[in-house]
Amino acid sequence: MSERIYARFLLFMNAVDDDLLEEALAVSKRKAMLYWKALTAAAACLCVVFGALLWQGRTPAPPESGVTAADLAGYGYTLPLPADAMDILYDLLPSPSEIPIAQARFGTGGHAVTLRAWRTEEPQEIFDDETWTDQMDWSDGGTTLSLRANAQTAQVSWYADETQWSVRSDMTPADLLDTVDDIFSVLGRQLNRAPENAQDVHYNAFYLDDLAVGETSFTLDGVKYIYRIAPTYDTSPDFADISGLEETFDHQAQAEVGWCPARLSWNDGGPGKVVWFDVVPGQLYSLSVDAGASQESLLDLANQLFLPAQDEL
Amino acid sequence: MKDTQIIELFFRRAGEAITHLAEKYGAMCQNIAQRILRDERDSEECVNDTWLQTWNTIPPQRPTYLGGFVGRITRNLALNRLDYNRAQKRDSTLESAFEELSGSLPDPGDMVTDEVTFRDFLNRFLRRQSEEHRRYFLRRYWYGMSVQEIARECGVGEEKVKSALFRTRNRLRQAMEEEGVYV
Repeated sequence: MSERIYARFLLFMNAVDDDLLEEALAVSKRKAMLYWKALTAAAACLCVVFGALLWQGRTPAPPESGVTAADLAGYGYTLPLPADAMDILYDLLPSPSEIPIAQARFGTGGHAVTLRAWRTEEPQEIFDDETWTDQMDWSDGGTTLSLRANAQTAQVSWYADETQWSVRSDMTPADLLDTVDDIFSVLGRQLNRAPENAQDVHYNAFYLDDLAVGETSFTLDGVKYIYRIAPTYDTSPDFADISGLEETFDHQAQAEVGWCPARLSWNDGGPGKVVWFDVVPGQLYSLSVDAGASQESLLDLANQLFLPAQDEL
Repeated sequence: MKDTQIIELFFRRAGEAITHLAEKYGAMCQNIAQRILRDERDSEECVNDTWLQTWNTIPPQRPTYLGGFVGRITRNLALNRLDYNRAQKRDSTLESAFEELSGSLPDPGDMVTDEVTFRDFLNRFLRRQSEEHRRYFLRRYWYGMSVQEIARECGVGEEKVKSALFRTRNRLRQAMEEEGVYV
């Protein structure tokens, strides 16, 4: 090689961006596709069909990433983005297996969100580790979720249908859980437990007296409700009250929600609550209302909302 | 062991981090160095230096793809070593592969583009190519892989790889001429 060509060689060698060099060494898409198809041909077909339906009207990725939603579909991925997601940027990240991690970065509510999914046979960590100050693990809607947060970042992860999902953002944990709730809706799953005609629906999760509580707040006919669910190992008849309402009420009564023992407390036309306990899965429930309470209205809505969890066990 | 676990060992400054790194990526790094240097002993030294440099870099860095990260370190170390070896009149597989590319590029004449402009041009050009063609191109001319190796690893026929490389080289030449980029 002449000196001139060698100089050209060094120039070329040092000119290529690192991410392109890494991409070139990462697993071949075709090879991964063959692998994936061999394992789950039927599932892949379903994903593509389902993905095509979901992507109708979705804005394609900006050109900078070079990866589009269609590229992700090649690996059987359908990333469920909230309806208000903006500036969507797709990417495929190398993983230790032949199946890469699918990623979508997008904006929602003035915050940046990164959603990742990885088809894998067991739960995995798919974001770089962080130092978390708050950690919580809980189950809802048949899915086990984990929430990690510190002052700058929140992350929610769950594993379902042989896919590890993880969402990270600079939002507050409560706002991120609302985004995750939207993502669950797109996935056809249910996280919040609000009735269909409810408005201003929010989902949250937190610890209350060492119990991991999943909370859905919503407004129905102008009245604000809070519905909570928490698993417990305590099977004593005097079950815990997870409503968070400590005040004294004018009326109290014993009743049943479904087959579960329930305790009601209310002020006529004012606030009220009903708490009940399903002993078979070991789940505590509460429904509280800030106005318009009566024994009938509380029991009626509690029976509408109560979805027995036995099927989720 | 998974990448994240190995990286965690580096962050804990645990000596076995290098053992696990070498177990997982030793063969790959040796391969990269060997293609550039064509000398087993030189390649081994490069790979050992790679572990040292990785130890000095993680932390604070936390690479997303550990294989690409250490592969890049090996490649850079091997290129530095190649400079020295050229004085000894040794040839390399990578240089031979590059001559194939270089032969199809326009003659620069007296006009030579500066390094920064060329880097910008080349990465823009590469990002315009399909991922598949970019992968073949970089594997051939940046990693020095043979067409057979690329075809086998990517699960395609050799003719397809050859055809893609030919077209990408032509598109590169055309783009250089259109933008007046000469090196």
